[in-house]
Amino acid sequence: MACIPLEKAKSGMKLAEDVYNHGGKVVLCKKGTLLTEAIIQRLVNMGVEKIVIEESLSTQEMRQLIDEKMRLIEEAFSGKDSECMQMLKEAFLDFWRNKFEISSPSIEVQDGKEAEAC
Amino acid sequence: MEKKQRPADILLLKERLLEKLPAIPKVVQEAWKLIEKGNVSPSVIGEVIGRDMTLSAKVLRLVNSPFYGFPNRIGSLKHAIVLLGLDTIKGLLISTVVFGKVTQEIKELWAHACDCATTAGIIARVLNIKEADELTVSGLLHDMGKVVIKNYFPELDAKIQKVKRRNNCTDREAEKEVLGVSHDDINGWMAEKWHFPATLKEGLIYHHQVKKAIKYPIFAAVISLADILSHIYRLKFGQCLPIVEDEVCHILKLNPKIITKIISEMDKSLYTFDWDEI
Ligand SMILES: [Fe+2]
Ligand SMILES: [Fe+2]
Repeated sequence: MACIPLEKAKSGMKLAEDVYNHGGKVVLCKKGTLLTEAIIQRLVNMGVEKIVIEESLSTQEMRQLIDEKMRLIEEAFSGKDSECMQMLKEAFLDFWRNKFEISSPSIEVQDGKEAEAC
Repeated sequence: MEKKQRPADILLLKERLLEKLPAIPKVVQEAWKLIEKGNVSPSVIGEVIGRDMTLSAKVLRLVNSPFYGFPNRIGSLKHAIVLLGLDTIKGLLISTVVFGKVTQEIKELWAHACDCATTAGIIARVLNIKEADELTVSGLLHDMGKVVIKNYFPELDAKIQKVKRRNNCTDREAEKEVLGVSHDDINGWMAEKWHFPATLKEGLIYHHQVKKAIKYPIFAAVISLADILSHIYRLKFGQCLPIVEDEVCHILKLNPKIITKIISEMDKSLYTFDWDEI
């Protein structure tokens, strides 16, 4: 489980907790729902700020995903050492690392407390 | 052993290619004429386009796609024209002519065009370039030469794909070997025939040679960057990336922070979006 701000929500993620309205009385979206763009948009419109999602990827899967991205980029950029290409390469490497670490379970441990307040 | 294309062969290809270009639907022609005359109200143009239901639906779908990031749905052509301006609408009309029906063969090119269009708009907004809508259209059309080759010269396309696999090179290099010219040259032929505005031309013709863009280097630079960012974002194994010249970074005054900002904006729009729906 991980508590994420709604801006980070993507279709395909699964809700691990019910989503309540502002007052906390009305369930807007049930636990187990698979998010779609339309649902996310609706939650945005209703002012929801955070949601708790199921972590489908294991640490190992996450590692593999990052490793694959890194390998792809290294391969595609090999021999392309100009200033501009190097800058693009570094920016993408950083971007994928950050993106996958946000939802990685190792971060989730630190997020554990926050998840309850979500 | 490849024989070198003679200038005469290239001229012949140009002639045959321009002949094969799809006819421009009456309604589009009429709308163009009005747009070129200038000083025409959005509701008049809207009415003309509105006569063709399929066309209006296509334009509205494009306008409401993530390209432009409008927060609310745009329901009427008139509203779309007011928001986007006539040049952009003209570009969108051309894109419906170029891509026509998105078949299996050009599906990948369509998805890349959509990625590039969205990214060009994002770059323009991040860098505060005011022609964001025009750049979006340039992104949508930047590889139209490839679409034409695939649609109307499948035997040449098959050769190009073969060379590409054999040499492990970019489309552009393979096109040069097979045709003697590349899709950016073909873009130039089409832009000339269809009287594209000069700004749009620069992006279409020089997105792989930004150095040569003299009149509107910023346009060429944005498309070059949008193109490579779209490719890197969806990188596949064995893919050969085009080269982006250092000029692009200088012209747009790029730094790592700006690039990171652009990529994260791209991620929001491109991550799950399925271009088939457009
Ligand atoms: Fe290109
Ligand atoms: Fe491209």
